[in-house]
Amino acid sequence: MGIKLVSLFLLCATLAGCQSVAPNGPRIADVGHGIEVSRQAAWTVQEIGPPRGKHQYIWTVDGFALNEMVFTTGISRGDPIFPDPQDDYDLPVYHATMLPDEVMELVAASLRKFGYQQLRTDSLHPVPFGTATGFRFSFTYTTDDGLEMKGTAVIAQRGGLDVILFTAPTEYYFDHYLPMVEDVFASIRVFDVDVTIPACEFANALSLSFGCPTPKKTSN
Amino acid sequence: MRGRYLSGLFLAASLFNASGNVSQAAETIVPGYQPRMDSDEAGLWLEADQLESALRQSPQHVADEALNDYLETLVCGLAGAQCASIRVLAIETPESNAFCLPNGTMVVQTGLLLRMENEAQLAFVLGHELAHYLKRHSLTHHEARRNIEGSMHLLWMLSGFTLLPKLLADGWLAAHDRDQEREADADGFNAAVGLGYDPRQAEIIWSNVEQEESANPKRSSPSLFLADHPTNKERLAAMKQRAGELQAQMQANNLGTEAFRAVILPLRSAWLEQEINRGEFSESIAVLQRLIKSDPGDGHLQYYLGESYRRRNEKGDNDRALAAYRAAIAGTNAPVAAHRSLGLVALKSGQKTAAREAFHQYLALAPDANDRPTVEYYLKTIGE
Repeated sequence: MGIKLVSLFLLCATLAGCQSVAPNGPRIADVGHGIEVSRQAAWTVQEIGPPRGKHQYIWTVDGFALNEMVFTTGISRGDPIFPDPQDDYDLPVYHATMLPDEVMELVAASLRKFGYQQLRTDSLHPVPFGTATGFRFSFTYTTDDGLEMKGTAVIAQRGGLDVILFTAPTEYYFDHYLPMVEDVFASIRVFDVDVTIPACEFANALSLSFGCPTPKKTSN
Repeated sequence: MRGRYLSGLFLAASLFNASGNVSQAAETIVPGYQPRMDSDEAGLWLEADQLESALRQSPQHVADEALNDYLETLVCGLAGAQCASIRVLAIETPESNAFCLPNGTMVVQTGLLLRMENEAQLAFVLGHELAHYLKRHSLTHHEARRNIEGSMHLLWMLSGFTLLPKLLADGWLAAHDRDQEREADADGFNAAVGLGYDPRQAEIIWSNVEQEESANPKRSSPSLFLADHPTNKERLAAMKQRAGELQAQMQANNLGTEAFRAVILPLRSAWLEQEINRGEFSESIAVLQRLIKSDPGDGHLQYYLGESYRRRNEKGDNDRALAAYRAAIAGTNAPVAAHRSLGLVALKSGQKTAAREAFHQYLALAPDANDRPTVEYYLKTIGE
């Protein structure tokens, strides 16, 4: 039995259009929703979408499924994290009142719908997301054929949900590319954001006093 | 065109009847049976061998020795003289199912074990699956499908390339499969009752399935024409009638509850986590409410009931989740996470004092929790 890897790139490309972006393009990459990150030349980039007006970018070094970094940014309230225009996967959707724990559960539930087996999340903790605050967590899962995989993700709620996640086989690939992933996470810069004070998305939605400005109305 | 349809339907009936003759029951398997190498059945066994091998190597294969010994003993009792031909594999997956491969590999999924209330119920389900193996139903299904597909191709051309022959063929095959299910129901029932298990437990299984499925408004059932299993209601009625007949004749009342619980309860918590991760929260709530009736003080069950309400997030679910978390904490063996989840729901409900207390309690009980920074962050949002 051959090893079959679950690739978000392959799933997303099936559900929406995709196009290559020149791998030798600018070292500063715009990944949507006012987010820029640094990109080393080793990353190859695919642009997926746009699902409902939003873009996804998927990067890889060795090939999609072997290692892939997915940027899905500016997710509106009531929308799923990943494109599913025909509701083939019955994906759960984002709500602005979600706490970071619940956003982590949303990411996990979405990946399970794509067939990620025995997925477990761990170590949710706040991290800088440019000048805003995001949350980071790790996860493990197995493919249909039992290959053990690892992932790490950063989420941020800032007038829409941003999710950046990296997955690779536990053996060799994940640890090998983790330093490059850390470089990308550390390089995140945010512009043109509606809310930059930490946790204001859910704090406003829950009417918590956290010094949050009144959110601007968006087209979401 | 109308005349062509009518003649096609007539021919369909003739051909389906003819192929029905081919798919008459194969002989029951005898101990030590091996199919002829050049037979269709050998091909089915080869596929089953490959699947068995993959399952054994899968990380989902449950290595718990006590569980495997327990299942082997139970299935061996049901199989009687065929015991040596059967291997049992427990597979960790939340879907409620068991099946017996054509080569005698009985696969029992943990989602099924989670839902069973005693050994008697498990015996009826495994007896049913065993009957499929002993009656070689996979072979007769394979032959029926092959024959009907051959007939369908001719009818498809005669009908002017319409979908009607395929629809008729699917319906006929589904009816064939329903007959196999009824036969397995009856044989499994007899095998379990023959070992002294309470016949009323078979009816309870189908009642529970019906209750769980009806809790989920999204779940749709296939049409009666195309369904390859009898309806839950039909099976429930059949089991109830048969149990009534047998109760009057014999004293079969073994539940096997203690032996079952001794093996299942130590493993149940991990299965509960997987159950709610299916994302079918209304079904999980129905399952948990039923299990809680047997173990009202079980902190794990109450915690996962709270998690199901929290994650379903329908109107009124926050209050239900809070009640369940509090019951979990008041019960036995509640996971520490019950305090954190209570804090999350209290926070979302605007109950800041309750949230603060719950988060502090969580950090006191789990000072090294790897999500401590996040909990401290929540505390900060409510003014600490």
